[in-house]
Amino acid sequence: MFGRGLVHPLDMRHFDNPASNPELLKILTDSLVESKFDVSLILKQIALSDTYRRGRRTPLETQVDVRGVLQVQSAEAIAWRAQLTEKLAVAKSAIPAAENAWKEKQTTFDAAADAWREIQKTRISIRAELDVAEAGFNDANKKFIDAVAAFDKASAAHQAIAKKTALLDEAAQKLEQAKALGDDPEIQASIVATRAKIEALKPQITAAELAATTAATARDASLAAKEAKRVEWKSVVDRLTPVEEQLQQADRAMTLARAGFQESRQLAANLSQRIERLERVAIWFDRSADAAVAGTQLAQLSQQMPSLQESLVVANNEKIAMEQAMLGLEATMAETSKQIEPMAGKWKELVAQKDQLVAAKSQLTVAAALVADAGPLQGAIAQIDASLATRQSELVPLEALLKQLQVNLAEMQKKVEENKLLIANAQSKVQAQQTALDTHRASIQTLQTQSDKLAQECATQRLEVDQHCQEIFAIAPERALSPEQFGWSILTATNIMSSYISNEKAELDKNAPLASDAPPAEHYARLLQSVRGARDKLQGNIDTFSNLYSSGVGQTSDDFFASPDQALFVANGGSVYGWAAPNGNNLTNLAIQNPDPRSAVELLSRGLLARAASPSELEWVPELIAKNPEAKPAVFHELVWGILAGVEFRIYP
Amino acid sequence: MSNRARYACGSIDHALSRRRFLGASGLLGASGLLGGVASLPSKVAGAIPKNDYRIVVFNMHGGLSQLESWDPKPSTNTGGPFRAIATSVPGIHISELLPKTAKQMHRLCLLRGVNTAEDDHGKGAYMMLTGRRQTPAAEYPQVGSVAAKMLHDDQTGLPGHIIITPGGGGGRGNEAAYLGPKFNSIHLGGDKPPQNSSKPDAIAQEAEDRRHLLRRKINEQYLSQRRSAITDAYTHSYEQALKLMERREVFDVSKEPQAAQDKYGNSELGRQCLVARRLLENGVSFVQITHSNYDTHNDNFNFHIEQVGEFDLAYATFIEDLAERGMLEKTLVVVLSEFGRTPNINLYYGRDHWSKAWSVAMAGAKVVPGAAFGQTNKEGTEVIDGQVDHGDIFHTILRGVGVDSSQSLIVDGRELPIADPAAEPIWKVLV
Repeated sequence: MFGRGLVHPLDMRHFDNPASNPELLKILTDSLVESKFDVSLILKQIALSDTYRRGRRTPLETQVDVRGVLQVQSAEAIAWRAQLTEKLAVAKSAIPAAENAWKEKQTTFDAAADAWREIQKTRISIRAELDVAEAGFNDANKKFIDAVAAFDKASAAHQAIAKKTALLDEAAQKLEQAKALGDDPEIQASIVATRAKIEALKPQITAAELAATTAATARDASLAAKEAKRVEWKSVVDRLTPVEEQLQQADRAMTLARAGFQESRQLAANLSQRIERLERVAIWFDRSADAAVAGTQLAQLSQQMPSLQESLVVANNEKIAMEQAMLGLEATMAETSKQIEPMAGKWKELVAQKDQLVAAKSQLTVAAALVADAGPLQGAIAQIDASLATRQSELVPLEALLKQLQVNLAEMQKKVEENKLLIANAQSKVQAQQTALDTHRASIQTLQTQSDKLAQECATQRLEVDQHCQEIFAIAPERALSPEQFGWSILTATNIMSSYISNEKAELDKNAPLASDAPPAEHYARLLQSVRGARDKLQGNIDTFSNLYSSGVGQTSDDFFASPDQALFVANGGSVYGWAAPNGNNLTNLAIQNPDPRSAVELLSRGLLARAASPSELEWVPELIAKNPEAKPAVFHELVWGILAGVEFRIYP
Repeated sequence: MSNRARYACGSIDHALSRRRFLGASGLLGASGLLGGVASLPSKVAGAIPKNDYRIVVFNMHGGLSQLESWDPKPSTNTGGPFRAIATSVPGIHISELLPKTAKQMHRLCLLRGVNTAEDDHGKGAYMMLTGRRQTPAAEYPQVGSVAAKMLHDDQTGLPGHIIITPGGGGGRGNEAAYLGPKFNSIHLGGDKPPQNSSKPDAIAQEAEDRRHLLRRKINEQYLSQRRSAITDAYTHSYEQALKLMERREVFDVSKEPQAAQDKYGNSELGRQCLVARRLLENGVSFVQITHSNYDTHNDNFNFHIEQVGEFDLAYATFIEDLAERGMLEKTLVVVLSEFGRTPNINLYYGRDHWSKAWSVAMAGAKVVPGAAFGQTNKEGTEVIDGQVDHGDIFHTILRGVGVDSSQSLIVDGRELPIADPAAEPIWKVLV
């Protein structure tokens, strides 16, 4: 149920491979025995355990994208951050207590150590006394032994002389008896000699007696001295014994205090480590949030970009229109100037002619006043007047026209000047827009760099933070499916297994139909037989997985292999892609037949990955299908394959 | 093949593929995990500077007879029927079964004093490829995985560790041990490209692109929540597979001119060599070629005429080809077995397993050319000079391609020497 045994690997139960949690194993063993081997009960207990129900995701993980950046600053994310802060605060507030406890334990330990040292000091001095007493006793003992020996020697010497005297005495008596039998001078002489010898020995006996007595006295004295020393020694031992006991007690107290001290120090260290981890997670989270904010800003800025660009275009267009108008104006002006030129020429000519005529007339008038007959002159004057009038009549409208044109020109000039100003305005407006756009672009760039950097940091911290999160939030560790599990899971998920089972069953039923009133046990046995048959038929496929993904069929191996030949098999080997194809009632087919792509995605997600589809999956898959509706069957076939080939299908939890 | 002598010792090793065999000895290996070598995930400290050296190993599966190859003892009780011939290096003689190789002698370096003291196929192979004795306490990476780790550049789009075996397939052994799954080998069956390395015709290019896009999108969902060495290795393997499909033509010998194909000889070994050369040219760091099966307990001499003849042509052409292309300077070619064969000729004209005094041949890279190091006695029963073992050879191979074999990798906080610290490179054969 956990993908890993308490004893791992399972088939290696020996003393060199102990259970990872022996206490738990013992509890489970005992409860299994107690329940009279009720397997379903133990399974239930396991399933209801906190450990079994642990999630596989760390709280933060649900909210981040591939780079480890928070997707949105959701309320949930903020709550998680608050929780982190809280955990951090709790851990930090526990630090002084832990440190105090640690210090207190240290004081206790120091006191215990001091007490121990004090007792040890006393003990050492008593031990020294003991040594002296022991030496004294040994000395006395030696003296006593010597005295005993001396006494023994003196006593022996005395006894030897006494024995000699007794023998001589006996001899003298025998001689007396012999003499009584018949007086013999020789015997008499012997008696006298013997008596003389006895007399001679007498002082010796007295001396030996005295020596023996003296030795006995010396012996008794040394015995007394020895006993005195013994008493002395004993008294020292009596004093030492309680001290030794005290020392042992102090030693125990010190050991206990040391253990307590070390434990509390370890607790404090653990706490510091926890704080460090929490802080790292918090830092990563904040960075991730910053990156998310930067991302949002970036998106906003990028959104504003088109409108800015549009305004620039509008301003530019305005400017261009004005410039065009200006050009038109200038063309008209040129046209007008062009019109004015010949007219001005003609006007000049007319004015010149008029001036000539006026001059001629005044000469004629002068001449007419001088001559009597002014008649012909008058006629000429009249002629001149007439032609002057003609000229005048031509000149007046021309002049008017010219004036008009000049006015026009001046007006146009004025307009041109105005336009110039306007264009300059438009130009500066364009420039302003351009600057705004550039600034915007630059800030996008800066933000982009910043956000990339943050995202990069998040990504690099990701693995480490995951580790920390697993410890802080206690989630289940990840594991890859074994090759066999992987193979059977694919066969089951694609309905290949169930179709094999039903084929097997159909074959069995055809060959040996079950009576309609057959007991359920027989039906069940038939089903079991079908499952076995299907498994036998599909085993070859599983062997392929064993060979490609592990050490081979029947070989125990815990090693995880990920190599391109496996991927090539899944991609191009035909089997996996073939199994994923729409067929009968399998998930691929159900997804294709579902009119709503979103619920089809939900179906695949729940059916193959045992989880709800994510919002983004519910979005992009239907989008892909909407773009190319005829490809819907193909897309679902490929999607199912993609899920089977994906990391989530292989690695759990 | 059918008219070949039945010669092998019939041990289970020949029935299983070599790698499956290593897997079987992996029963011990599994308990090796208890020793604390975590199989996953491996974090190897520090970036190791890559160089462009490469390694090729000719694995003479079953145990090549040193007496019928590198260390002949003609006219002795143990020498067998073949003569020794002069080579391009005056004074060095090799078996007359290697006439073409004799002409390449000035490029080779023979180690004639190999003593590995292990007469078991599986254990011998393990020792020669890992440089260590097999122990239940730990698993060690094979030379191919070490080469892939130390030398290979991922940018080539090709795997760094390729093993070519006649059958291909078989289960995998954890050759990379603590180096991590990325450095395990890719198996090629003979001269064929990796299995499944071409897109099935039934899948249109559009569908192909789309299904991988879908796979990546699905992965993204999971990876946004959880990433680890396992998940990275798993997703990486699919991208590696796609790159490998792109470079499939590298494995295709038929892309070579007919003349080149002819030159290597019409044998599977010849084609393996040609594939190996193409792989080396395209940046693969390690290729192991397998020539099987030398386990000649019966009829040793007829068999060696046949098999060594095939080897002679392919190997000599390979060495010459690499030299002519200027690749030999950067490529170390090692010919090794799990052990040699007994000087004593048995009742069935065979030779048995013998690890006390046998030979290994090297060529190229930083190995001294035109040399014979070490010596066996007159009848080849004992090493009398220049004795080396598997550990020394492993060090020498790494040094031969410019890798400091005394360095350690930090794996999960443990310092692991890449080669056995008790052994040393054979400095006398290194330039």
